[in-house]
Parts: sequence; C-alpha cells; structure tokens
Amino acid sequence: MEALTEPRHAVVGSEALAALQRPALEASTLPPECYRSEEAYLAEVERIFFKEWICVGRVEDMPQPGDFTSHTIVSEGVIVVRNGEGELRAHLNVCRHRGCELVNGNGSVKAFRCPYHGWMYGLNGELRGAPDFKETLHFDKAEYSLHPIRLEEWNGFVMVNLDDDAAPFHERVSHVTRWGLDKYGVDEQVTTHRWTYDLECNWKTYIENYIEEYHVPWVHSDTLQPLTPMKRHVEFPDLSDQQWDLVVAQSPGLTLSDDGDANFAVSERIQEISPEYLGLPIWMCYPSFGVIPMLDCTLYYSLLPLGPERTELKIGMLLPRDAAEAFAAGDEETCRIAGEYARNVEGFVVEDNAICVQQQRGLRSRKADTGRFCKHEGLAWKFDNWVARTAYAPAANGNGAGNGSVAGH
Amino acid sequence: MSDDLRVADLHGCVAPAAELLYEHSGPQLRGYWPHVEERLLLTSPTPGVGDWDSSYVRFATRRELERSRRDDARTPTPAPFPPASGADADVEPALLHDNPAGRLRALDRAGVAVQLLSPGASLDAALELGVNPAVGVLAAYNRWVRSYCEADPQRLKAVLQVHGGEPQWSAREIRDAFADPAVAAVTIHLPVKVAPDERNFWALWDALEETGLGVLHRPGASARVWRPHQLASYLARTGVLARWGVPIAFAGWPDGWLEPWAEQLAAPAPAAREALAAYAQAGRLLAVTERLDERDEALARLDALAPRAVAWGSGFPFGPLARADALRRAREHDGLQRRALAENPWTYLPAAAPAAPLKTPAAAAGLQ
Repeated sequence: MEALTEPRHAVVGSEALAALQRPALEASTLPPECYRSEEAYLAEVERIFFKEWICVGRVEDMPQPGDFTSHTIVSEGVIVVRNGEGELRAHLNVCRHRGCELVNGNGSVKAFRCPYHGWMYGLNGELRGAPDFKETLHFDKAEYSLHPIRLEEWNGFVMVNLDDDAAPFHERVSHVTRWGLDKYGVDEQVTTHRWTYDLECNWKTYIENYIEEYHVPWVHSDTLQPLTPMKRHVEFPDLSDQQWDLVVAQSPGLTLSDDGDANFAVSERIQEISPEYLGLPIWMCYPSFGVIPMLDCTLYYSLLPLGPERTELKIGMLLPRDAAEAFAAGDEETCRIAGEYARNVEGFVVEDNAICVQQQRGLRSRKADTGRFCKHEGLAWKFDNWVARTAYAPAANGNGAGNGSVAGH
Repeated sequence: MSDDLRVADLHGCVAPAAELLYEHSGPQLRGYWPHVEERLLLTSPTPGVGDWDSSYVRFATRRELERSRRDDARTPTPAPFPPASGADADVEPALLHDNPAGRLRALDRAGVAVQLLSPGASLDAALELGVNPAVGVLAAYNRWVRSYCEADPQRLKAVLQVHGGEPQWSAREIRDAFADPAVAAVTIHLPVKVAPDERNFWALWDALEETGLGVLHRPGASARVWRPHQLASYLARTGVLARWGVPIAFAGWPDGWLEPWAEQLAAPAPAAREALAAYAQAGRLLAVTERLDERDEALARLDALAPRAVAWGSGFPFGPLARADALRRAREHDGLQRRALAENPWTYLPAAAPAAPLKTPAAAAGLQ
C-alpha cells in the first residue's frame, strides 16, 4: 500500500520520547499534541493503520456465498466477501478501470459490477467482464483483478491488513492461549448486538482508557466498580508481548446479567483456565482490537481513527450459537435476557465514551501538558511507547532527524 | 488414415459464464441487466470439463432458482454439466469459457480438424427471460463465441444462436455474422407457440438459404415440442424443406431418437415421407451422434438407408474427443466411420471444407 505521506520530522521530540521511555512510574505521558495534531494522525495512519491487522467483523456477518460487507480503513475502502468456495476474501473496494468505488454497505451479490462502466468482477476479485475493451491494445483482464487485501479468520473474527508484508495475525497472537482465550468458545459464538459510535476523541484516548483500571472507581462507580473493583484488576505485563495486552478483573467468573449469573451455555473448557486469569479478562490487540470474554458471552471492540480528534468505535456482543439462534427467532425469554445483557453493556460503554470525549476537550487546551502514570496504568504506558516507537520515529531516509518536532521540543 | 482425411466434430460444447455474456452484451441488454441478475445463479465449477476454477454466474431456469431459494444453499449451485466420466483426461481448464487455445490443443491431440461449438443449458435458460432480453443474451453469446473462435476461425466454428420469436432480428444477425469465417451454422430457438413455417419466419429461412448456413437443432433450443424426427417431418410436410435448401443437423440428442428416425425413413409411405427419406439421402437431414459403432443396429440401418445422413458430434468436453478405434476404422475402411467423421460433415459445412488438408500437429506427426 502506497504511503499517503511520510512524516517530515519526528512527531515527538527526543526529550518527550525519552521521558515516555523511562520506566512507567518515572515516565511522562505522550504530549497532548499527539492527540490532536494532523501530523501525528497521519503518521499513525501510515505506520499503524495501514500496517497492522484490523478487525472488520465476524464470519457470521457473511454466511452465504456472495454475502459481502464493506469497510473504510481511514481512506481505504475494503470489501470482505464469502466466495463461491465458502472462503472469505478481501479486496480493495476500487474498480481497476478508473477507480470508482464498487459497492457501498453490506449485501449479497453473485458478482461485483462497477456502477460506473460495468466492469464485472468475480467474488475472488478476478476481472470477468470488461465491456467494449476488445479493441484496447495489450489489455489482459488477468492484470486487472481487484487488489487483494490480506484476510485472516481468527476465533470467528475477520481480520484484514493493508500491508502485504505484515506478519500473519495468527503468529502475532499465538500466545493468547496462555491466558485461556481459546477456552471460552468465542469461535462458536454469534453476534447478536452491535453498537457503532462516532466519538469526538483521539483513538488513543480510548485505547488507553480500555487498558487501564485506574478510572474504574470514578467513571464506573455504579456499573463496573461494584462488580469488578479496581483492587481486583491485575495487569500481566510479563504475559503480554509487543502486540497485545491483558488486564484481568479477577473473580470466579463474570457475565453481563443483572444478578451475575450466567443464563446461557458456559463453555466447559473454562474450567481449564488458571484461576489468576478467571473473571473479566480484558484483552487488547494493538492497535485497536479488543476482546472481553465472559462466562456465557463476549464483547469485542474495534476502533478506527476518523481524524485526529474523531474515532469510530464498534462494539459487538456475542452469545453462544444456540442462544443467538433463539434470539434471532424471537424467543421471548432469550430476547429478554439478551436485552438485559445489552443494557448493561450500554451502561458502562456510555460512561467510557463520555469520559474519553471529555478528556479530549481538555487535551485541546493550550496549557495541556504531559502527565504521569501510576501503578494502575502500566499498560497505557506500554501502549503509548509502542505508538511512539511505531509511528513517531522520523522517516528512515533521515528527513526528520534534527528538523524539530510537533511535540515535546 | 489417408492424408486427405479431415475429421470434423459437429458438436463441441462451450458454456460461457454470464460475466462473459455481459461483457459482450449491447446497450439494450446492459439496460436490462439489473433485472437479468435475478435470474443468475452463483455456480460451482465442475472439475474435469474445462470449467473455470472458481465460482461464476450463469443463467438458471426458474426451477433451479426456486430450488436454490428453497434449499437456502450455503454453497453455490453446481453447474448443470453432466459428469465428466469418459471425458478426456487432459481437458484443459477454462476451455468452456475463455481458453480456445486449450481446445485447439485438444483437437490436435485427437486429430480433429474442425469443431462446431454450441452452448448448453445455461444459455437456453436465458430464453425464459422474455423475447427482448433473450435476444440480447443470444446476441451477446454470438459476439462472445465469434470472439472465442478468433483463436483459429478455420478450425473453431461458431453456431450462431437466433430466436424464432424474432425472425427479422434473426435474419439480420445471420446476414451480419455470415462474413465471419468462423460462423458455420445456426441454431434457431423455437418458442412453443412459434411455427417455423409461418410467414414471419420466411425471412429467417431466406437468410439461411442466402448465406448457405445450415441449421443445427439441439435439445433445449425448442422447449419440448420439436424433437428431431418431429421437426424434420413437420418441415417436410409444410414444404419448408422443399422451398428452402437449408440443411438441418440434429446434434446433442440422446441416441434414443435414432431408432424412430430410421423407422420413419424406412417406412413405406406417402409422398411426404418419401421426400423425407430423399432429404436424408441427400445429406440435408443429418443425425449427429457420439457413437459410431457399425454393430449398432439403428445406426447401421440409418447408414444403410441414407449414407450421407450420419455425422459425428463428440459433446466435448463432456464426451470423449478422441475416438481411436473409430479413427482407425475411418482410416482403413470406406465405412460408417469414414463417412461420419470425414465426409458427411463437409456436405453440411461446404464453406468450411478447405481445398487442401489442414496440417494440424497431429497430421504432421502422422496421426491423421
């Protein structure tokens, strides 16, 4: 994928970078400019969102051959489609003729036909029909397939990556079995509820909020704190690797019901999980894919930046397949319980959303400055370092070195 | 086989995906396309018959569409192609759609000089669309098949598809395409309510006679009404065969019709039947069959009654292209095989009969 821009100079100055890189309890936070500047945003887009794996949904979103969903990863339109062989494929949502966007939204097709001049593509992206091109010289349809996008299915999630050279997602997250994600039966669950929010905040504020428990007593005093008090949250920096983080609100096991009991089938394999990981494991795969498996349901998060101070947040709730089918069939009791779960999700999600937007407003202040981390924010510190290391370093050609920076002169 | 023995196959098969028909469609069909799409089925490739290697769309009959909706299929509908058992082991991929070079290589290997190409069930299903869209689909097919034959128009021969419900358009299509050296015959799709002796139809017969193209009548092109011997009999009785000197070949039919056909020709009969026998003896009515066994009673009888009335059609790639035993006998004897493989087809395809034998690689290697 061609880069839109290259950072002209280091986004974070060397002093600010050094301050961030100190041990967590000695370090300073990212400078506020990183949460509002166009340059930081563009650097993150180029070096993170065009390079890393992004969750664009679940396999059950496209059950039949020809079913497709379309997505926009910052500026890049992506189609995910189930092909005739039953496999998921991803293509750039751009006609190879003159660049028209092929489809919008979700649906089902037998072939993709460009609305502009009618070029027709098979579900595997191959150009199958190019009307009136017989006379065009040296034109070989085989050279004009839709640009393929890398796609992997993982525990029922659909992951795409715009970078042809990225390491496989499976390899990046191969260690998640250490805390037992594979024991929850997430791959057998089905999405019943979806939420999409357009938030006026930088995407990093939301990720930091997601992986630190320090805010729980204040932001979620009536929702999460009684269930998962901050003191029970344990970070696992040694377990985490460069690509993902885990914090566990320890307890015998949690769910989303009002009374705390599981109402739907619980995977028997949960018994195999070590006790220290039981409860509410909150997992975040960089840059923006989160999974929170519970006894009888799962929440997943996917975030995409829409601008320096705007973020799209998508959340889904998964239930065991039987429950999801009963829900889809309109079973009254299942719908009531699932509705209860969904209401509880909304309860704490709106609290997180509101505080992130509020933080963003504060970060806009001319006097806003770097802050510090406490012992409950070790993973936020780690994440910020990853962002700075990945996105803010000057370009390899040396254009940036010594040319100043947006933040932290 | 003598050097001048040139084998012609009057029934090769193609099955272009709907994407290719769309590509070759005119503005009228493109305008209809959103409606046409409802009649398309996502289709699994059939291995071993020269299909594409990934799914594509094709026209489906109402019955197929209803079945696919009822089954709520999680996989594409299989292509309506017969099993590949008995077909050549080395059928190259995609030659049903867009690999004419692969087909030519298969013809070379088998020692076949010329092959007529006919579409299959998926094109016939488009006739359920109604006359105007169906004409658009047939026109698109004609453009596509001529483009396919461009790989070697002396050897790959297109059978134009025209619509009996639109004789004027059909006549124009025949005259317009005739100059193309690849065009060798015409299939007339006969809707149930159209009689081929009606006055409207005359323009079509005129165009056929004027261009010298024969009719190739195959299953699926005429609903259930016109089985070969019924159509032949009707055309003889209504004077169509007398008025227009158009040869008619019956290709792709299950061989069960040969017995009644031979019976019909042999029966002591009124004048109309005598005329029918005369047309067969003159090679104007041609039974195209995959089997060429002289011990086959019906075939031997037909050959005895009308030695110019039998030709070979392989059904390739759904049937075997190489008939080693038949080729050997054709080479050694002046019998049924020689007539069916290398003589009678040229009566039907006079324009395609070359002055000199074609030097295919097989011929050059002494296989012909």
